Amino acid sequence: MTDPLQQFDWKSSSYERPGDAWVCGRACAGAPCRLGPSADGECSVRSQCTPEKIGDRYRCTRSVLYGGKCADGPNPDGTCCQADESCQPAMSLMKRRKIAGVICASISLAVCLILFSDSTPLTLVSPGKVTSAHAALEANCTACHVAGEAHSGLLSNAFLSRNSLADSEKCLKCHQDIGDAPWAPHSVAGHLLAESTANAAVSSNSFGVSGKPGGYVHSGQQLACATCHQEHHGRSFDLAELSDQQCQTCHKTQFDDFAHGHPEFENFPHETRPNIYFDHARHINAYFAAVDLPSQTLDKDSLTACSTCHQQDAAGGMMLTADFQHTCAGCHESQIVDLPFPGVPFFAVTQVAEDSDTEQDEVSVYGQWPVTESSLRQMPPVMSLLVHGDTAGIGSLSMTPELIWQCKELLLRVRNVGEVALAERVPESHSLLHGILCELAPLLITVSSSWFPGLRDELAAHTAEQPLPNFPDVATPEHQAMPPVRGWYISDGDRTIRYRPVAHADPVLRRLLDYLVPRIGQESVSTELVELFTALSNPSGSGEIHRSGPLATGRCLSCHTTSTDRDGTLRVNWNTKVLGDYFAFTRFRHDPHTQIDVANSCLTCHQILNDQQQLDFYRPEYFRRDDLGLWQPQPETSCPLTSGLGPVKRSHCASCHNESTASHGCLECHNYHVHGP
Amino acid sequence: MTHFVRRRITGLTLVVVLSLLLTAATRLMEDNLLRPRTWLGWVLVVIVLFLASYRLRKQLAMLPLGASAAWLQCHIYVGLLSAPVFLLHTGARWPGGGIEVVTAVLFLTVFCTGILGLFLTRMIPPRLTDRGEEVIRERIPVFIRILREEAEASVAGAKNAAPSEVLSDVYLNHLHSFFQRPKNFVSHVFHSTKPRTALLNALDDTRRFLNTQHEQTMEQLAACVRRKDDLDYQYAMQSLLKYWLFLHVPLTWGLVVFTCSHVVTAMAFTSR
Amino acid sequence: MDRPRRWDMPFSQEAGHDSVLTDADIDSLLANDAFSRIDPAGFKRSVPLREILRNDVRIVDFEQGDVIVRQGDWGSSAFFVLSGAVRVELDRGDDASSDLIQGRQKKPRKTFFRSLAQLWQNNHHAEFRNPDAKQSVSGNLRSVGGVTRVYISDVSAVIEQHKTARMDAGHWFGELAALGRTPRVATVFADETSTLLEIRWQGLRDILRFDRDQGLKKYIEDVFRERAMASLLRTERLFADISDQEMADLMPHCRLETFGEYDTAKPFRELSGENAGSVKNEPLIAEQGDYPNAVFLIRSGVARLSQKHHAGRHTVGYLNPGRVFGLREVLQGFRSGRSTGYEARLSAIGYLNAVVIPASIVEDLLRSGAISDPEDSCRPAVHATHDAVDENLLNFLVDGKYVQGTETMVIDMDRCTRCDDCVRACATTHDNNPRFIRHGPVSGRHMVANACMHCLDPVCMIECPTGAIHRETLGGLVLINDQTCIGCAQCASNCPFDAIRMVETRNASGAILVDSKNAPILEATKCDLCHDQPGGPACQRACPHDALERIDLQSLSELEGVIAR
Repeated sequence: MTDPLQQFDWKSSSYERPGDAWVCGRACAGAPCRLGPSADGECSVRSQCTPEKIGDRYRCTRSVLYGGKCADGPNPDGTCCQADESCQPAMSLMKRRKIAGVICASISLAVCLILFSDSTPLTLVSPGKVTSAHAALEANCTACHVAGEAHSGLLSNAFLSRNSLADSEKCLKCHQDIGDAPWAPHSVAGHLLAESTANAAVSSNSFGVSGKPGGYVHSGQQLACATCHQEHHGRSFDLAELSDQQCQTCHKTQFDDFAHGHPEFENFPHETRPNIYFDHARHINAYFAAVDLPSQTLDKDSLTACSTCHQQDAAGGMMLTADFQHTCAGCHESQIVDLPFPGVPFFAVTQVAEDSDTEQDEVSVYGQWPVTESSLRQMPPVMSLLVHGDTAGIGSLSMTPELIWQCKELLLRVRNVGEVALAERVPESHSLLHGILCELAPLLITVSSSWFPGLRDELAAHTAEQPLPNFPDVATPEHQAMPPVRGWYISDGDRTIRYRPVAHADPVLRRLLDYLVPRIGQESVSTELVELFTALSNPSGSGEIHRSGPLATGRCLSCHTTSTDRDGTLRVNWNTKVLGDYFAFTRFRHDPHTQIDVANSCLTCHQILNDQQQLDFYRPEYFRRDDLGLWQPQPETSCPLTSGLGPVKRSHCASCHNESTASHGCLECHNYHVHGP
Repeated sequence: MTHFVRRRITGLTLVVVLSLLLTAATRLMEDNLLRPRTWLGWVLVVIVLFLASYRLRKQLAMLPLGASAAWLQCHIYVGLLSAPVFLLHTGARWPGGGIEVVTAVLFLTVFCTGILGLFLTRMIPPRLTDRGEEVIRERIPVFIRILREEAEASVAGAKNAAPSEVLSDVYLNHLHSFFQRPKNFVSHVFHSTKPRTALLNALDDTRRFLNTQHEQTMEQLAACVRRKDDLDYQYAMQSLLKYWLFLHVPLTWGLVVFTCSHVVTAMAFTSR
Repeated sequence: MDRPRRWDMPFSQEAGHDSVLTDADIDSLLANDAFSRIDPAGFKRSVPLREILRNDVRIVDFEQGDVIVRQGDWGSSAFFVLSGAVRVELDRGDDASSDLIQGRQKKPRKTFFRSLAQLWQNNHHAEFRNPDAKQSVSGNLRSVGGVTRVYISDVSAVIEQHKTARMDAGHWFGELAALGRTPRVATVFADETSTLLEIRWQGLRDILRFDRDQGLKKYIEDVFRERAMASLLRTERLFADISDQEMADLMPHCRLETFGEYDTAKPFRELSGENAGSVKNEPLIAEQGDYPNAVFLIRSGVARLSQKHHAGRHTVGYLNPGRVFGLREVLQGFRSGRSTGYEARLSAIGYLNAVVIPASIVEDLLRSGAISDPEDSCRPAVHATHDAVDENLLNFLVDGKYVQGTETMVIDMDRCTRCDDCVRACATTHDNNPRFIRHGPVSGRHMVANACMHCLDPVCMIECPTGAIHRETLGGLVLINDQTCIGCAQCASNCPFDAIRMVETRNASGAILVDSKNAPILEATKCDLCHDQPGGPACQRACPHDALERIDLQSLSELEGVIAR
């Protein structure tokens, strides 16, 4: 047993002072002195002194604190006789660690101060690379950040102001196509979103939106772009990532994934009102199967192939319907062009109402009024509109002597100043109607001279209240039921100016309907317009009021449906394109899907309904008769027109879009930004 | 189950539960388009400052601020918790910006040295207790000097006996430098007794050339070697217990500075 | 400066007292009964009786109701009633004097801010002392006696409610506590306007030592039997309820015995040397297996319990003051009718002061029904051996006398990372000076560091010439008054645990203070348990690894609690 190295008694061991900054320089050699260095790191050992010279002798100056004057005294040369026993104290471990800490903190502080100094480009504090799309902006912080504009405001930008929307505004400099409410949820203005939320809530299987989806919908809180689009995560970072859970935070009717619980496509697309009413089932099953197809351009095989009418667009995402000439025209063009239809009357010398008191001498009352036997009994609505001017709501289209004079005045004015006379008669002048009136004006000038040769004198006399001059009767040719021409013509036989449609997509009728349809639902609509629309929209109409017959004019709206815009106006759907921005919430591309099952690719999803009930032509629910027995279109919401196609089955989609393919997220089909690209 | 084991289990359970809760909260906030990253950043700032404030507690030893042991427990478990919070904050992505990379590197280094320190402070003390006399590290050079003097005295020759040339040679060739200062730091860190065995073997090899008296001297030398080696072991291990703090503590201050810079830039440039 | 010496500051000027004993006063004292029979010739030349009286004595006047000493206080002085009378409260128990205790002096704790201010106010030189404070007589002296007095407003009510005894002029009191290093056993207050002589225990000790007549010594022993024995006996549950008459009958049979040496630290030094750990050298009190003819009630000191084990002895426990040895065996013998020997050997560790009650008396009392045999009297004579504290550790603690400690610093070396946080914390709270060294004897994985344990029986105080080392009035902490310490190193040499260090004091510029002979002025320093800090011992709170604990070894359960963690 060896003796222990250390002894604990007070003489052998004095306090260890690990907190001190300095240790004796001799400590590492194993011989520290008992005194230890001073707190300032100076050796406390003062064995030597600086001898003082007094006269020619040196005297020891060592203080009593360090042993006092030594016995030997200074050397003759004035140096101290004692050996220098002082050491160079060393820093303690603690002190070294503190210094390391100070160095580390100082370097960090220096680096940070340099980074934030005015002369350092701000890009150095960039937290990472931006996506490749934004890479060009990388060097320019101000392009996206308000805070990038000045170094000095960094702290105030950090803690005093919120720049989120100001920054988002910078996004909109480039991303302009995001709609009017870019920071509302789905970039749809709050009230619209609330409306569609309410609508969706009616439908039983819609995606419910909870009452308080983070308050976003109702509070009108604005979501900055960076809420979802987080930059500086590298070149290939997906900026537009949005998880299903994030969707479902607001859309509270939650389901596991697309295959399990997503609502069925009950409404879409087959119950969505198509622009062209085309019952696929009836056409394919009844008409195309018929032996005696009138078409010369299409054979039976091509008729039954979907691709005959539907082709993908150039981008491949959308299925387009071919134009009229290549599709419907084969059978239906003749129904438009060749039907025996005299045309829509615009001006007529109508028979004067029977109940007039002035039986004795009609001519003396209203002058020349070359009525024929086949003259119309009522004024055409457009004529009535022009004659009455802005006095809307006449109630009757009958002709009276006063109206005859007004007619004549109008005719004279047209002869004098041209179509301006007409335009000023229609209070709510509209380019659509104006175009028609422009075309009507020359015809009116023609008839004013041919049917009313003494018009000017007669009117002058009437104004002066003098007897009317006499004029010879105008010759009356025989009335021809079917005119030989299409377009505008003057029918002398029944004293009318008529328009007979030229072909499909007749410009005059189209303009007329475009003018009428938006106004027809409004409360302030004039009677004439209602009458005119009734005449034109009646599916069995003749173009004339109270004359029914399978005539072509009424047929515009037989195939072209009307839909209500988001702003509530009714419009005629002239084109076949279905997917407009209205449906930007859902995205579907046909081309990848058609590659899967080429043979009967369309019918895999779009099944034709062979249900008998669906085959009724002009299903009564699409139209209704009003009190007068006239046909009126049903409001869209209560009764959509159908395409004769069955619903696209979700289960079929889910056979591919499921967990195993990991292509079943919300964003697979849905866009967040409804207004977005 | 002892108090310490129970405490460890409680602490670890708490860390796991808290990190799971934080993960869930992050998911929830993310889904709600709130700002979990910013929020977690602040949590991390608080954590870093709390962890750094342990140093302050040590400085304020005189105040009744709670036992340092309790602080250390919090320090350890909050430190462990900081890793999942860090991962959640960064989204487990490596940052791209200069400040962020430096901050992350500093954080991870401080975290790893902390783990290393935890490991060392739990592993080394029992070994120190096990081997050699318990001495204060700062005094080891003194004891080495004493042993050196003892060894040199025994080599120089016992009273009334001539020194053994063999032993002198061995001393000069092998032991002289050994007795100068603490040696074999790396070997001791890895618990290797190779240098010790080599020296003792070198001494033992001389046995056949020695007479009885010198053999005794050799035994004395061997005893000195053993004690010196034990001192070296104490020195190496106690140093290790101190050196890891040279990384952990100074880098913490760097981390705090860079964390502040990161907070300022992130808050200034956030567009959320 | 002059080297501080004993009696630099007379007792009469210490701690706020500022009366000076004139020669006339001393002459009249010497004429008093208390000192008249003492032969001054027996005294050493360096410590004459007259100087003892001049320096270790003060005359204090008390008004009626003034509390002189309080039960439980640690006092280091004795009193002699010069004129007037005092009243001793005989009731025991904490509740009895609750009204008296209210006025107790509180420790002058630092406020939070003052404590914090140590951060920048600590002198950055080591061991700074203000040389002027050494000589100052008035002002900020650490209290030894304490000037603030509590008085009882309604003395007659207290006399009615409590059992009290009147003590007239010519009586000593407080000497047992002062000399026996035990707390005061009773509260004493002035019954009328009285003049008391108060003497430092060092002075009393010197008188006892050099008085050839031994009159005072005898007197003190008689007084003990008369006064303190009853209350001591009543601390044992068995005797707690016996009537005064039975107690009076019991007491003459009981002996106050002292084992080992009374007033020197010598046995400790010897025993902690090469003979440490050997039970053989300890004064034997009762042998294992012997017929139990006495019951021992420990008054002060610590005793070892050991059992024979093959050729050697097992340490099975230790007894602290207030604990009883032999009662179990006596009761067992009484119950069974067959006598059994002592279960273990009782030996004094250094010094032991115990009351010896003959077994026959106990049996008589049992037979007469004055005391009843408690059914649960199987209270073990020895500490039940616990798994947590193995015998090695127990031996280590008992052999090293660490069981004396009430605040022993035990470091678990398996947890200690040697970070020195404890030492640094200690330095922070002591003007930048550590007050312990993180080294010390190790047993297994436990180190008892060289920090003051605040012993039950502080032998360090024994040779202090000035009384600079003293027990704090409340709580019994051992403190050093650095204003009266003369740096004689007596305490440091006496301390068996190397807990006291002498340091070279320095001035504000860091230079070591030296006396006229260029010798450095030393001062004794040691742990003061941060008694003036708001947070308590900084070392324990600063340990980050739960390694360092201050443990009261009077109850083994506290140690067990720490070890079993």
